[in-house]
Formats: sequence, C-alpha cells, structure tokens
Amino acid sequence: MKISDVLGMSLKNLLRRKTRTLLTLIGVLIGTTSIAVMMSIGVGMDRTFENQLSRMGSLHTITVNSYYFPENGGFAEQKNLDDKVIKEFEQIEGVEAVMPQLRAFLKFASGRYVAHVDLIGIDSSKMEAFDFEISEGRLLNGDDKGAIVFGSQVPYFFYNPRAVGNSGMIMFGDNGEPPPVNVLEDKLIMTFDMSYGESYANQPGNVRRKTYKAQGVGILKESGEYSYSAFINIDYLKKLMQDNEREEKRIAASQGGSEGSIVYYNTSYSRGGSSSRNTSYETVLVKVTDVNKVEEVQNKIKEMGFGAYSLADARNEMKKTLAVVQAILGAIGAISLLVASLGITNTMYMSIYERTREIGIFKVLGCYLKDIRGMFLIEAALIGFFGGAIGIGVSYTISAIINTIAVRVMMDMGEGASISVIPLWLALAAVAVAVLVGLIAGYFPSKRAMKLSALEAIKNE
Amino acid sequence: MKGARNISVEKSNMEPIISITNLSKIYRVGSEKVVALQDVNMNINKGEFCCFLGTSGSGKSTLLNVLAGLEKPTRGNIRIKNVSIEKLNEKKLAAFRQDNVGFIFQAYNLVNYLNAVENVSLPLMFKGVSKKERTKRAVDLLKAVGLSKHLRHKPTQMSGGQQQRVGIARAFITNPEIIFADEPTGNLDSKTSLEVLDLMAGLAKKNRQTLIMVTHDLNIAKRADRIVYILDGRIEKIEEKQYTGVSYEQN
Ligand SMILES: Nc1ncnc2c1ncn2[C@@H]1O[C@H](COP(=O)(O)OP(=O)(O)O)[C@@H](O)[C@H]1O
Ligand SMILES: [Mg+2]
Repeated sequence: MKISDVLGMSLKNLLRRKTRTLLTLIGVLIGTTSIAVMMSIGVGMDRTFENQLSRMGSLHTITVNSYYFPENGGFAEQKNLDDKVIKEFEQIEGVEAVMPQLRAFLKFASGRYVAHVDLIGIDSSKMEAFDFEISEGRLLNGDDKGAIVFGSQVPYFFYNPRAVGNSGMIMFGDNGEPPPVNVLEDKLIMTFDMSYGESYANQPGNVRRKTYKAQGVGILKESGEYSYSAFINIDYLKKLMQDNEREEKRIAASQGGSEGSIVYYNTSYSRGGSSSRNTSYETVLVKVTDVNKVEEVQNKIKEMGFGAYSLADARNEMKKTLAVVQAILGAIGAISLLVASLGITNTMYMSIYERTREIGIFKVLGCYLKDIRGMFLIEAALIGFFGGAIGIGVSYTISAIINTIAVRVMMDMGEGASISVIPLWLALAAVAVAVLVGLIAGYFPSKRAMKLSALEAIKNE
Repeated sequence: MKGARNISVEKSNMEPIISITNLSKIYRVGSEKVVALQDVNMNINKGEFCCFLGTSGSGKSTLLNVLAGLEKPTRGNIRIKNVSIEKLNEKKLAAFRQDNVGFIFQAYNLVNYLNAVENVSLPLMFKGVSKKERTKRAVDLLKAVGLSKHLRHKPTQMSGGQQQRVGIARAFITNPEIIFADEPTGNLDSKTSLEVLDLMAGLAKKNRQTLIMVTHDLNIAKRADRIVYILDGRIEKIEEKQYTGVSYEQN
C-alpha cells in the first residue's frame, strides 16, 4: 500500500467519526497546551534570569582574589597574586586573557565638584578582550599616563560638597539631568586626600596632600561590571600609589601620633604592600573563551589556592533550581497529556471493535498486516498531531494573555522580559511529543487489529 | 458435436491449478473434536467453474477457506500453482492473495463508508496501484457489470443485487487466476441470483479464470462445470457436466 493511501484511509476514518475524533483531539489539545504553557513559564524564568545575569557582567569572566575562604569554613588563606601566578593562569587551557587589577580609592575634582572614585589600574592592551566598550572618546593606550576611562555612571558621582542640603550622597543613574561635570572636557585632578574639597578640609590639623592631573579620554558603554569604576593604566597607578605611600610615611613621621588630629587617608590599596618588589594584585580577571569551560577553569584556580568567583557560580546554582522547577511544571503538564493518551487508546480500541469486519475483509483481500497496523497507528498519530498543533496555537494565545496580564500587574519586569516564552523548539517539541503519545497510545490497539482473525471477521452473522 | 469439441478443448488443457491431497481439518471445541474435513483429495483445473454443493454444516466453507489460505489445514497439502500454500507465512499469503485470488462473499462484505468505485479498487490499493489508475480500472469494470449509474453510491444506497455486483467487480479487479465465492447468491432472490451467477461465470469464462463456488442450492450448482458433493467433510461424489454426461442425464 502506498503511504499516501494509508494516510488517506486514516483521515477518512477520523473524519467519519467527527464527534469522537473531536473529543479525543480536545484531550490531546488540553494536554499539549498544559505542557507547553507550563514549560513556557520555565523558559520565561530562564530567559529573565539570563537577561539579569548578562546585565551583571560577562559570563566569560572569572574574578580571582588573593584570599581564599575554604568552603568548609576556617580561616581565610592568602596567597600572592603576582606576575608569576598570572603567567600560570595564562597557561590554563581555555583561558583567553588574564588581566591583573590594581585598585585605589581616589577623590576626583573639577571646579567645585568632587567625586569618590574607585580607580582601577589595568593593562590597556587587554581592554578589548575583557569587553570594554567605549561609548564616547577612546579606550586607554599603552603610553597614557593620567588618562582615565570612566564607567558610564561615574560622571554622575560628582557633587558640590558646599551646596546646601548636599550630604555627599551619590546618586546612581541619571534622572534626565546631565552630569555636573563633563569628564572628557573639563579640567580634572585626582588625589588620595579624601577631604579634598570638603568643608571639613579646612579644620586644623588636616594635612593637605598632593594632587595629580587627570585627563578623561573616554566613557564606557553601560555594562554590569564596569559602570561604577574608572580605569587607568596600571603602571601609572602603581607609580601614584608608591608616591602616596611615601607621602603617607612622611606625614605619619611629622605628626608623630598627635592626638585629636584627623587623618584621612586611603588604606585600601596595594594589599601586598611592598611596592618595590613584585607587586601582588588584589584582583585578577580571567577570561575564558568557552562559557561552558568557565567552571573548569575556575576550579583549577581554586585548586591553586585562590578565591575565584564568576557569574557561572550563580548561573549554575540557578540552573539547577530552574531544572527542578521546569521538571515539576513539565510533569504537571504531562499528567494531562497522559490522560489524553488514555483517551486516544480508548478511541482506537472502540474504532477497532467497530471495524472488526472491515479489518477482516481487508486481510482477506490481501492487505498486508503492516498496512493495517499503519492505518491505526497513523490514525492515532494524526489525533496527536492535530491535537498538538492546535494546542500549540492555543498555547501561544494563552502565553500572550499571561504576559499581558503580568505586565499590568508588575511593572518591574524590565523591558522585553516575559513570564511565559514559547520558543520554536518548545512548539515543535510539544507537537512531536503529542504525535509520539498518539503513536504509543495507538500501539496496542493497532497490534490488536493486526491479530484479529480474518475468518472470524467475515463469518456471516 | 459441440459437446465433443468442448471435451477435447478441456482435455487438452487439463492442467490442475489446485491440487488437494489428504486434506483434513479438525476443530477442537473444548474437549470435543469436530471433523470439518476428512481426507479430501481432488484437483481443480485452470479455467473451470467448480462448485461445492452440500447441506449446511457439511464443511463446504471450511474447504473453501483452507484452499484460500485463510485457515491452516490439520493435515494434508494444498498446492496452488505449485506452491504449498499451507506453508506460507502471513505476509506471503497476503501477497499471494493480492496476485492470484479474488473473493466473493454471501454478505457482500463491502466497506460501508466507501462508495462503489472505492470498494472495487480496494484490492488494487493494497497492491500499491496509484489512485488514478485504480479508479479508472474500477470505473471500467463497474460499467461492465452494469453499475455505470451507481459509481459513487455507498453500499447502503444499493440493492442486494447491486451490492453483489460491486462485490464481483472487486473480486475481478486484480484479474486473479482464481475466484472464490462462498454462497454468493445466498442473500438474493432467485431471479437476481441467476443474473449474478451468469455475470460471475461469464467474466470468469471470458478470461479463463478458475471459479470455485460454494452453495447449498442445486439449481445454482447446476451452472457449474463440475459439482463436488460434500457430505460430512468428505467428497461424496463429483459430477462433470456435458463431457461426463452424468449430471446431464439427471436433468
Ligand atoms: N471455527 C470453528 N470452530 C469449531 N467448529 C467449526 C468452526 N468452523 C466450522 N466449524 C464446524 O465445522 C463444520 C463445517 O462447517 P462449515 O464449513 O462452515 O459448513 P458449511 O459451510 O458447509 O455450512 C460444522 O460442523 C461447523 O460447526
Ligand atoms: Mg458455509
């Protein structure tokens, strides 16, 4: 028999018993819809999460710290994160680039405005590898000295300490107003003196400190990891820090521990301290080309005794939770498809019972058993297919309704985020599952049809 | 003169298309044994119209079904075109039926939801013949059996005689060498019975097809070339028309 004829016979029989076919089909439709809608919520959660994650930073990056907290508790260990170690990191398979960071907290000033800035010294040649993207101006060059690239939010940190009612609060994000300082054009200075520009700077005993010239050369695009810092060439920052160290020693010596005096100075830089020797960095960023290798590389770094963190940690945890949630959602949907499959089986058995005689005639007329089985299997599969296909159509509608309601109920979802997402693979998989369920549900009935005795079927009466 | 020529024609073409040897069929119902066929031996020749005649329960249908491979014999051997059909598996039997056998039933056994053309083309569909081709052949044959006005009628929209004509067309559509007919006139009145019988026999004769019919009605059986009397699962006697002269004189 031609496959088109097998299909034709199956279709003919389905159409002949419209009510029954429709009822069975509705069962499959509900089953498919519940699976698809349930899974779509899982997918939606996954998308929302990935979306949030990518706003937090790159999934390719591992942040390495010199200190390491053993997972089973105990004291923090510390190891030197020096250039030798960095070489070792570069050797790890899958590592694309390694970028040591030197960090200092400085005060920037322009005219009456000042800002507390987290200044990070980096190797300018590695900026591109670590996804630094410029929005205005340019990235750093190797021979830059006081050149600074600002994170997108940093220009908004500037405030006027003498303005009435200003308590020095940093306002994140722009409220439509441009930042008070144009960091690319206005004259900038920076200093380790945290009191600079503040009203209390004039109090007796406060020692004025050096200021350095700074030149804003670029502003970065909005990104999760770099928005709240400013970047400078690491060699120049080293120099500044050494200079500052000397100055601090001098001040300390001259003051001799006089009581009552307030000394504001930075203590958060240069953890290794000894600047003349091999520098130990506080933080090193490691970029891994393949997202799926991040965890592996991260584990190797941990084995070397360093603290290593990445968004992959959060991602893996969340994925595990999501998998469980999706499995539960899918299972809830699957129950109704299971019930639908019983409906198909029942319909097929009824159909075969009614068509016993017809099946017998077919056999006597020389119809192959495989064609008889085929007719019934395809009939069941068609119920699955149509139920599944219509079910997907219904699912898209329900999904759209859920999302519309969700957007109205909670506005903080962020743009483009949806509660329910039905990607193409889910739609195709749902239809495929419905067809498969049809085939499975039709299997035993079709076996029964095959086994029917032709003679019994055609016996008179 | 005419009879004499017939004899010579038949004799010169005496090639058995079916040969039955020591055929027995015993049913077991619980602990009871029902002997439906007992040691049947006979040959059926190509192109002949052979009729099994007997009372109800004598074993005629059983014999026909065993010959058609619908049932396995308990003992004995059936060779059709030199193939021992009792040894064929289901798949080969189906192929064998597609190629060599047509069936006509007492209850017509048409498929209710298919119209006349679709019913007639069923055996061709099972063989994998294209829809266009099989429809054409079915239409032609239905016209030949006098149903040109009923091509698209469903079985329920036709009389018994018309339905059996569809049944006959369906049996002949594949041009089989053998046609089995189990009480084909059993549900018809006597006038229609004879019409249907003539149609069947005429088609078979025209293409020199072997027609094997079962009936309990002597008047119907008389149309056959040979009558095989069945009694309690045995061949009681065989009458050959014309050339043996036995049944001829009885009439
Ligand atoms: N499937 C069966 N099981 C048991 N006994 C059967 C079966 N088929 C037929 N018989 C018995 O075999 C005998 C012959 O039956 P059958 O060939 O149908 O007779 P006929 O067609 O001549 O009326 C009967 O006694 C009948 O009861
Ligand atoms: Mg009978």
